[in-house]
Amino acid sequence: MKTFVVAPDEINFSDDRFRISYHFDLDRLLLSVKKIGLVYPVVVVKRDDPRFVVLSGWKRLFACLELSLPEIPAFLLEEDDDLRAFLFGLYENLAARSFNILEKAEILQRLDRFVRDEKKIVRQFFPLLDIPGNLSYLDTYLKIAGLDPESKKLIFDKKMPLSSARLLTEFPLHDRERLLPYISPLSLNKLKQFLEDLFELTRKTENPAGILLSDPEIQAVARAGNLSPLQKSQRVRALIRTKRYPNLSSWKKSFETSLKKARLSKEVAFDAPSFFEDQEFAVTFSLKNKETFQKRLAKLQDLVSDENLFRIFEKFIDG
Amino acid sequence: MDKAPFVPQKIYITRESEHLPMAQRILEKARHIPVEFIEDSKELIEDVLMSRDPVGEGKKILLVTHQKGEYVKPCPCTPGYIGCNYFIINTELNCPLDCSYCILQLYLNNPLITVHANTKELWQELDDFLGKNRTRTIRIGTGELGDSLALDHLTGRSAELISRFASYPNACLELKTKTVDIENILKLAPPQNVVIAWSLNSRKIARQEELGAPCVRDRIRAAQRVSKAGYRVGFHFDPIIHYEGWADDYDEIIEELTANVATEKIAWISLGSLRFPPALKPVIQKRFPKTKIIYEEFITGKDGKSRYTKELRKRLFGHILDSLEKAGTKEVPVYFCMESTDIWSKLQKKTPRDKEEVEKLLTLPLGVRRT
Repeated sequence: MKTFVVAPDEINFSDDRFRISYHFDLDRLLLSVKKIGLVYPVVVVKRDDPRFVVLSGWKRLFACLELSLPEIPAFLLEEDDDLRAFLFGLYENLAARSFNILEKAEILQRLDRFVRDEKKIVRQFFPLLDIPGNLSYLDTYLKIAGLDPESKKLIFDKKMPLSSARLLTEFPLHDRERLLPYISPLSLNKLKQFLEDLFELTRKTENPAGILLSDPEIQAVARAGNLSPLQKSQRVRALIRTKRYPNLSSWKKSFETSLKKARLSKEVAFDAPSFFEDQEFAVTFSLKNKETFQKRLAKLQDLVSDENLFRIFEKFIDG
Repeated sequence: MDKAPFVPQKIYITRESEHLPMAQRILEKARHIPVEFIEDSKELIEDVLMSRDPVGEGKKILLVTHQKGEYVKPCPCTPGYIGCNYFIINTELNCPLDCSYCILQLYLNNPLITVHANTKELWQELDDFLGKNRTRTIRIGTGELGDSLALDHLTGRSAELISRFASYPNACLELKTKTVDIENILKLAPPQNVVIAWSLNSRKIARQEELGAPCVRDRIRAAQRVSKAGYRVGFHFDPIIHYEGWADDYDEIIEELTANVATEKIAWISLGSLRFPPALKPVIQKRFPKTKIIYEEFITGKDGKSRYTKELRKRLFGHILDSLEKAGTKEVPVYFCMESTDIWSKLQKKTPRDKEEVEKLLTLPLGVRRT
């Protein structure tokens, strides 16, 4: 390999046939290049165009551009075959770091283009990428590679696991565009639950997500000027959950309303059995010392004669 | 209408099993099917596991091999619910039918339809196991990891098992199926400790969710023929599935069943509602994109499985129990598969304390207990 320096205008930035990373955080690399220069040159190849094609080192390249370096250290790999060149870059990266799911998706998309033998990809490359040896994973990653930039950015920013990213691919672009503002502010777990609930509702009702999100209640939340994006997301998520689990949601609400109506003391709280499946309710109270403990016990003793309370329990135990 | 018996696209036979009578019998019955002899099934299984639909691909291939593990095992049932003390015989693994809710779709160590050919070891294990348990009646069957009769036209397994169980009076063998592959059974004199059982469902569920299985009418007809030949029969309404119009649809099947099969021939009826480990949901979503059965309201049970809410389970079971009673099955033992004490106590006259009591409930009427 020849080492040399290349000027930015000698690089064909639009040729990304070997590129596997589109999302990265440059801060640390910028600091490093600023302090000690670019230690590891970018790797380039020549193709039909007079300009160079980047094989690996896109992040390093962008750091150099950001710092307006006039010359960028580079290796020239003399390899005409795209697959062999790509594998050079892949193995170079593989030795240094692990890949996120977006990078794996790009790698598999390139391999699908260069290798054209699905089973070979599964046998030879899945183990290197820690992907289970099944062709359905290839389909999933290729779908992720084909997502729009906004969805990919969300996957990157949230460090979304494969299961959630896969769910995102289940929605067509126009539905995803409506969905992204609602799921972006949510934590990973809630985001996944939201996507699952919405996807299952689309299957159950045979309505696309766009129609479901056009529901007047959801639209009212979306229009509410006094709510933050996170508050809107949480409310829409709750509405979708209620539509997915109408009975459980209504029992929970009814139980909470019944307890409120019973005007129980705030020091003692009652919890319904999970999913109203078991027959036992839980009671919790807090205490500071012996005195408060005795007070709570006295309160509990009073509650034993509260017929309203036991009527609530019976109602929810026996359905 | 009868569904044609299963014909694999290819048969693989491991060298160690090649000369065993079971392998020879299959070769004899399946002369027109391509056969390949292999040293080991590992590579074949890996190749199928790589495919987009290992379960579907596995259903095209019949593997004849040795059972390397134990043939006889206790039915794992499910933690936190009342079991029935059942034992399973792993003669076959996987099933050519393709039911959307089938839990076997999750058991992916080996997706091939597999016949275990080393029958000598099976008899030895049964001798040992049943010999050690002479004081109780063991309920045991082959229908847990596969359909008991779906391969019978190729294996002749039912005849072997039924003949063998004549020498195990303290055991009750159940052959559980959705098929109508009963010709081998009808050739034999019916022992009293053998029950041929059918999984039944509403017509709508059978048509939409039990792909490749004969329709319910044919299953009931097969049960009628078998019972008229002198066998005891069993029925499993499992999984009972909730949808609009379910009550009338299940009533219709119960009416048809009791109109065609004499209740005194029914050894037991079990009821179980749809339940599945959460990991099965994405498999069902992918393999059966049109099904809606997994989009009901499910809760997470004590065993971690998704199941209907207690309120709905009580409604389903209560209705079917009423319907069975009205249809004249009062004397037939009816039990719940994998249900809570609460459901038992609300719906049955007697709540078993444990799986031993369920076992007693199901084996006493058979008259096969020995002291």
